[in-house]
Amino acid sequence: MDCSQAQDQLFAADALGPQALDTELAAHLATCETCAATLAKLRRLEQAAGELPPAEGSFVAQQGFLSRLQDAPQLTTPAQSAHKRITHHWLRSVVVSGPRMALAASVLLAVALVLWLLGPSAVQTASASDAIVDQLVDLDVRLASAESLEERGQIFSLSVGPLQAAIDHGSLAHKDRELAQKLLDTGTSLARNSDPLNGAQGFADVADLLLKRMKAASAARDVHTLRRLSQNYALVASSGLNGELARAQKIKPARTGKKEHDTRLEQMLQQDAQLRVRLEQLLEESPDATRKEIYKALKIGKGPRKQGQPAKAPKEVWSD
Amino acid sequence: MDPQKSRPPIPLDPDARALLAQWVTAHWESVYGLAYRLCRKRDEADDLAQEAFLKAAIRRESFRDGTNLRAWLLRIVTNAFLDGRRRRHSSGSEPLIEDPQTSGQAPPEVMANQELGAALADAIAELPETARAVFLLRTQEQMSFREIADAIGTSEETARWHMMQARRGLMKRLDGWM
Repeated sequence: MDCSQAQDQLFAADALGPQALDTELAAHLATCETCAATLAKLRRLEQAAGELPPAEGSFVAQQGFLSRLQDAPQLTTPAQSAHKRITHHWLRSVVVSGPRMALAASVLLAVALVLWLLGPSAVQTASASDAIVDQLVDLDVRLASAESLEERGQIFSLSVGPLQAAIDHGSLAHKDRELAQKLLDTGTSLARNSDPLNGAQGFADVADLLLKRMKAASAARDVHTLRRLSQNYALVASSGLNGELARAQKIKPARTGKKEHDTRLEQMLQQDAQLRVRLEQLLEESPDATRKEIYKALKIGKGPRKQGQPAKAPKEVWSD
Repeated sequence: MDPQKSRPPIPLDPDARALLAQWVTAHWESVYGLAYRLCRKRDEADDLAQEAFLKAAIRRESFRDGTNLRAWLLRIVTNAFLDGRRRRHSSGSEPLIEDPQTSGQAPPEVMANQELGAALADAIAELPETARAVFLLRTQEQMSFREIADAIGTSEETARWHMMQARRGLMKRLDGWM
């Protein structure tokens, strides 16, 4: 057997293990360094092929397909609901449609928070921090969903006192204090300014902080915190950031301000896209037990990605 | 990847959908992984994998219990990939991929396995489509040439010939990296 024949046999071999090689070929390989080197390279090639890293995006795509199967209209078993707060928020957006009802809900939530904070002393600081952050997220989302700037002002004035007091006296951890303050600042801006791009910027800043906290929780394998933050992220992204971006896309600014509006809108859309990329990365690296919640945040928080392709807007449509 | 991309309704009854969910849970990684290696685009791999699973569910009566479900699914996704490429080639919307050529660049003499993996993934993507499918089914899924021949709708000998072409192409492209 010459080298040409040996090389042909090597490239055509069913398998490359020592047992799989033809006797005549094996004899040639024992005496020919060139052909033996070719065999070694082929083995390394196929070993490397068998060890290629997992395909990118597999888990996200799988969850998307399973969700599609579950959500299909013909399915007789009830689809699993999103987490309770999100469900509650959606129900509220359907049922509590009028400004008065929204105000009533706002007052009830604020009073409930105060009563809760004044409740049994066994309440832990961590739980108090969680509750304050959750209430602030709800407040900002309610503000974003209000039907007018006036209604925003009413909701804010009724809620801000107890929440500010809770921040001031609630023994919040530093990381929660930063997030709570950012949420309160966003709420203040929403109550005073109807520009949806300002609102979007506030929600994007909140989302950024939430993502940083989620990443830290993931690194610490703190599943409980990661789940809770993911739920808040879903609300901030879907009802806050995306709602404001959708509203901004509907606005027709005056000719003089159009260029600035379009530039700011484009920047916000890019920021939104970057947040989604970071969330996808977090999803890939997070513990299995938390992936479901992060995936929901990713799915629910999907927003408008390009100008001219508005996301589903919240019910209200108002602008100055 | 766009998890909420608009897609047509799923034409399956609830029982079939439940069965499909089981298959997706058990075999998604293999099917999507092969789809991804074949087309190297996440969106396209997602579409391809979903198409393969839906086709499998629709044709579930033709699957024989006791045979290899994973191999059957891999066969469907491979066929879906090759059929799709043939359609695009025949419509002229996508050029045929030429046989691989060496880049002419001199790579480092010693490459870490990870770097070799990245170079290999690129090189596999540039193989002719059928050779790419055969090489992946053989090296990643450890399928026999009989199974590969079934998967791509050809004879065992032709499958072997594609494997030989793939090896030659990859060795040529990765010459100096190994």
